[in-house]
Amino acid sequence: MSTEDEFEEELAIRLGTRAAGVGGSPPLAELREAGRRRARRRGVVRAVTAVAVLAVGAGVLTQLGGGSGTGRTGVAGVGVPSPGSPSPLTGAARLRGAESDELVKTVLACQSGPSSLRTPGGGGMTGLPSASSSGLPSSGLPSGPPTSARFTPTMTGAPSSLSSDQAGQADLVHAGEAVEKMAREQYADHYFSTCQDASTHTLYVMRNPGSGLDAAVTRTVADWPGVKLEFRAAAGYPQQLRLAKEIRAEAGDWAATKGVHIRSVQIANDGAGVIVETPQADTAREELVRHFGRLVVEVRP
Amino acid sequence: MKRESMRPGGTGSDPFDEFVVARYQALLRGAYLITGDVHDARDLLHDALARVYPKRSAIRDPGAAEGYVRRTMVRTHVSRWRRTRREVLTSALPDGPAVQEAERDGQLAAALAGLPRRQRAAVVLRYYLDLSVAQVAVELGCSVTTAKTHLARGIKALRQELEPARELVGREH
Repeated sequence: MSTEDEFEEELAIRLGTRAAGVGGSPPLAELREAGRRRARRRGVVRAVTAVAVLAVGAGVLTQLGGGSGTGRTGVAGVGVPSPGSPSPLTGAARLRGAESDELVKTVLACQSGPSSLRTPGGGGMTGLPSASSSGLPSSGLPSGPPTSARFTPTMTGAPSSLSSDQAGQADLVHAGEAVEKMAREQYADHYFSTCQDASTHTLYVMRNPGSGLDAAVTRTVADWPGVKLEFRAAAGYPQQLRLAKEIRAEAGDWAATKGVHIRSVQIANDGAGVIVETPQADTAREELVRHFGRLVVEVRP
Repeated sequence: MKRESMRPGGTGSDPFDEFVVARYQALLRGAYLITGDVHDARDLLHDALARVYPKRSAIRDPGAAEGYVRRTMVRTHVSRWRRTRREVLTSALPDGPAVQEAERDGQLAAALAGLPRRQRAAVVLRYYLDLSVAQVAVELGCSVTTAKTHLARGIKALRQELEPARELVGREH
C-alpha cells in the first residue's frame, strides 16, 4: 500500500472516529413547522416579486407608449420601439446593455464559440443577422440570482443524474453569475457584460480596460478552476448608446418617408454595436448601415 | 399529495419523517465534519431539512431522500452567498457532552478547520461518506475536474498538517 493510500485510509478512520461522538434525535415537529414557515415566506416573496414585475412592466409600457419618436429614452435607454411598432413589448422584452436590469440577472450564451463574438471595428459588420450571442437567452442551465435557493438540487434524487459536462457548464454559469454580481456592484462604470462559451468552458468579460476589474474578475473565477477566462474591450458602449437613441429619434421619419418601420433598437450583448429590428430588414439593411454607419452591426426582421 | 397528517413528535405514517428519524444521526455526523462545530452542524442540518420538508412529496424515490438532503446541506454550506444562518428553533437542549469524545482528535479538527469550505466538504464526502469523485462533484454542484482539484488541494493541505505528527509517532515506536 502506498504512502498516499495509507494516509487516505487513516484519514477515513480518523474522520469516522471524530464523527462517532456526535448524536441526537430529530425535532420533527419543529422541523415541519420550520418547513411550513419557509414555504409561506417563499410564497409571499414570489407574490411580492410578481406584483413588482407587473408594476415595472406597466411603467415601461406607459413610458414607451408615450415617448416614441420624441427622443426620450426608455428605462434601459437601449431597446427602443418606433412609432407604428406592432408590438412595443417586443423591444422592451429584449432590453440589453449596462443600464438594463435584465442583463444584471442574465448571463449570456455564446454558443457558437469565440468566433461568434464580434468586436467593434472587426469583421462581420455588414448588418447581416449574426449567429452570435446577441439576444440569445442564457442556456438551459440553472441561472438566476446567486442566492442559496439557486443551489436547490433537482428532485430526481439520482446523485449521478448530472453529467460531468453538465456540471462543467453549471460551473460556467455560476462563475458568470458571480462575475456579473461582483462587477455590477463594484465596477459599474467599466463593466459591460459577460458571455459564456459552453463548448470551451470559457467566460468572456466585456469591459472598458484599465480598471481593477480584470484582477477582481480573475479572483472571482478562481473558485471555479475549470472555467477559462477571456477579456474583451467594449470601450464603445457610450457611443453605441448615443447611436441607438439617434436611430430611435429618426424612426418616425424612416417610417413616414421610406416605409421602414424600425421595431426596436438594441445594443448587441457582445459590445459590437447596435442591432436594428425591422420587418423590412432585407430591403432596408444596406441603407440603414450606410446612413447610421458601421456601428449598426445587425439589421434583422 | 399532502403529507401533513403527522403527529408532532411521533413517527406516524409519513415516509419522510421515518427517513429523518432513521438517518438523522448519520446526517448530523456528516454535517459535523463539514462545519467543524456540533451546533453549526445541527443548524445546517435543520436548515436543510426545513428546505426539503415542503418539497418532500416531490421526492419520488424514498431511497434518494438522503442524497437530496445531503446535497442541500452541502450546497447550502459551501454557498458563499449564504450571508446569514437560518436557525430552526427547537425546545431540545444541545447535546454538549456527546461532542467531547469527538473533540479528542483536535489536530484533525484544526486541520479540517483550516481548509476552505468546498475543500472540506469534498474531503468529508470522499473520505467519510465514501462517495466516488463523480458523486462528490454532483453533491458540490461542480464538475468532476473541479471536485478533483478540491480533493487534491484538501488532501495536500491535510497531509501537510497531519503528516509531521504521524512521522513523529512512527519514530517513537
